[in-house]
Amino acid sequence: MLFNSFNYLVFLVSVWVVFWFVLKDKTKWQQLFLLLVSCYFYMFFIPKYILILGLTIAVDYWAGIALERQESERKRRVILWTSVVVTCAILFVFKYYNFFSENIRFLSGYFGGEWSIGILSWALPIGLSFHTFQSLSYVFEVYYKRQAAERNFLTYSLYVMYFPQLVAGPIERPGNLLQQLNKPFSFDASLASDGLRMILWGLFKKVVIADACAQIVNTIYSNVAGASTLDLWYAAVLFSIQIYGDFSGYSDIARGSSQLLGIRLISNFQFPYFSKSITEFWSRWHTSLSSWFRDYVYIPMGGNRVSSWKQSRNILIVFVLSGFWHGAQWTFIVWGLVNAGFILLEKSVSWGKRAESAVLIPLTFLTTTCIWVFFRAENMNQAWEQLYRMMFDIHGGTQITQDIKLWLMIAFFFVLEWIQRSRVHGLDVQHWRPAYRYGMYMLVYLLVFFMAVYPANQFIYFQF
Amino acid sequence: MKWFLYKLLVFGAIALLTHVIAGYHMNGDTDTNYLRFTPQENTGLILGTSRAAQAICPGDLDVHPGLFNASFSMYTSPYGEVYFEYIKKQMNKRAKDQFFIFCVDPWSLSSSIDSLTGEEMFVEENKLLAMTRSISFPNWEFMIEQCAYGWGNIIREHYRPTSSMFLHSNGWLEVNRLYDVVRVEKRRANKLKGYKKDVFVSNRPSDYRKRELRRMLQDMKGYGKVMMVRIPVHPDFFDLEQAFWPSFENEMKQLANEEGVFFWSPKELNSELPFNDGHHMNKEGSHRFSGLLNAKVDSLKKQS
Repeated sequence: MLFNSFNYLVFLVSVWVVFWFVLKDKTKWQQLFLLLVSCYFYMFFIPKYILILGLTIAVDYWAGIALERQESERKRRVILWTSVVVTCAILFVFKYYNFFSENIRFLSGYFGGEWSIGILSWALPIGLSFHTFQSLSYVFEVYYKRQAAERNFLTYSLYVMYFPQLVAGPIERPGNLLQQLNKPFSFDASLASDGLRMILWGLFKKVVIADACAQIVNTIYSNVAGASTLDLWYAAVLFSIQIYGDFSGYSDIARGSSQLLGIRLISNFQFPYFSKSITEFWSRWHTSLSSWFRDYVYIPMGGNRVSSWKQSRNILIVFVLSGFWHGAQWTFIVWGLVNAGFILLEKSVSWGKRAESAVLIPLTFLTTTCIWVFFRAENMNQAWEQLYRMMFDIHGGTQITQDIKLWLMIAFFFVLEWIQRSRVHGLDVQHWRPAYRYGMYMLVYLLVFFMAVYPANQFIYFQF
Repeated sequence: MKWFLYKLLVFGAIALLTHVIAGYHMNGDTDTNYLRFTPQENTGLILGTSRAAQAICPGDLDVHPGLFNASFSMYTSPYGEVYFEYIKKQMNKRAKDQFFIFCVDPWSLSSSIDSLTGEEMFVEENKLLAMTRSISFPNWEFMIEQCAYGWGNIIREHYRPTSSMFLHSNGWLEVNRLYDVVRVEKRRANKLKGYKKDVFVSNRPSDYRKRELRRMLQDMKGYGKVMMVRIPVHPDFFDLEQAFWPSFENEMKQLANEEGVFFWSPKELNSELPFNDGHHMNKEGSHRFSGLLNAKVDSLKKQS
């Protein structure tokens, strides 16, 4: 069920009405209801895969309780690793097995052998990487004794399966979500109002900005060989805007939907394209994932409190893992490596101090745009070819008809986000005068009404 | 909660109202299929694919007024259960002495074959006709399923149409394109190349579709007169169809004889009528062909 579909609208309204009017003040029933509708939401994609999610939940629920009961550090480590291995094994089988299989076959062929471990033709369960990480964050928190083990299986299941963030995050932490699920639900009108604003803004980002950009990007990427230098730059810039509109739009709708149910999800984006460096970009982009890697990989390896060589090594490992988390392809790994390279470069060069925002923001955006080429490319050859032709093999002309309406929408999008950059999201305008505020709501609604493009694309991050 | 509900209702009402207004603006300019999913008071139907949708103008068939062209495309409405279900819903069962024109060609009676399993595939099962169950006005189901863009586009297209196609209320799909020799020749070459590369390779004559055609003929005979027509195409396309299914003409004749219906296949018009792309007639060709068909229907009615 896509967030930008009529089905989801009916689903959300029905859930909201039953949750607040039929089950009001019945916390246990509200929890059970949320779990059931979350199962229904997940089963809209591939129903049988709910069993995989069930296995992850069961293993990590057991691990949490076992970790809390166990005193011996050695045994606690065994429990932790059992949980990590089982949870990651599921991820490995569905997401990474074929990648390793193909690379083993390639390597074996390179050395003259014909060794193969076969290929699996199973579809990747939707959002597997997200709920795997969310479940693991609970186990880590219990292991580090920052979180009490959850005894109620229903509540824990809901923590992993809660539908607004089930398929593409934000990757929640037990300290935030689990705690809220354990309290009686109470309706907060201002939170719900902000939720509606987030949903409207998220829809605008997805169906007006991202989907319109996608049409042009897909056209150019379907014929990279025939595209001019200008076309390739155009596609790269539009893809940067597309992926931001798509993913942050999804996050806004997820958070907004959750706020309607009285639950606040963690923020995932803080206006990342207004960053003045790649390092700052990563503190604003997909922060629920960045902070996951920071807390459970980077800091346990020593973080910043080690020699500069080891710190660089840690950064490299985190970004390679982050790239690999996105997809089982070399393009994602290289994408992670290049990001790490820029962050290490920024650490060693302090040229940014005197430079102005007017220079650094566009420069960071352009750098990110070039790095996204690896993310969007179907393989490494295509990525290198595109980058080479963007930088060195200059050819004029264009196959694209300029769409002035799209650029006006993009301008409106970024201007409003710039004005709102100190707020939570672009449409966080409740401090405006009522006339301006309601005028802005109507304007954004009418833009969605008139400018939303066909078709309703799936969200990019659903594939991860 | 009350204040939130009040605001929610106001904004919900605005959203609902704008969508309802947009829904009532749906017409032949805003969508080239929508009117076929609204109830049409008809005295008979024209069945077929895009070839029939563009070639037969019911307005020109004055010997039997009130016909509705219920043809879609070769991927949406090949003969089969899905199309039959739609036809049963769209036909006016109360009308007496109805007339049904079945347009047949090798593509509408063939199916694509799965290259791995060799099994027959029914592409129409995931398309428009299978996905839209209702025929109503306004057809909200159609709009919700098919208009995945902002519905404001419907209002915009209603007042400032940008499409070169227009679906008349009688189901005729009018296509307004430039018909100079160079453009038509280029379109014909591209279309022929596409057919040779795709359907000619992927499709096979289907016994299932022939059975379904027979079933539909038998059913429709219960409501009025029935005829079968093979609509003319450019000679190059006709040759391709002959290569794809050499016995097609004879099989259709035999089917028509067995079912006691008239089969008209004016091959002599292949090189006379003007086409848009060799496969679909242009506006002028459509009016000329519809005029000839009108005369044929007239003589058929007089014979009986």
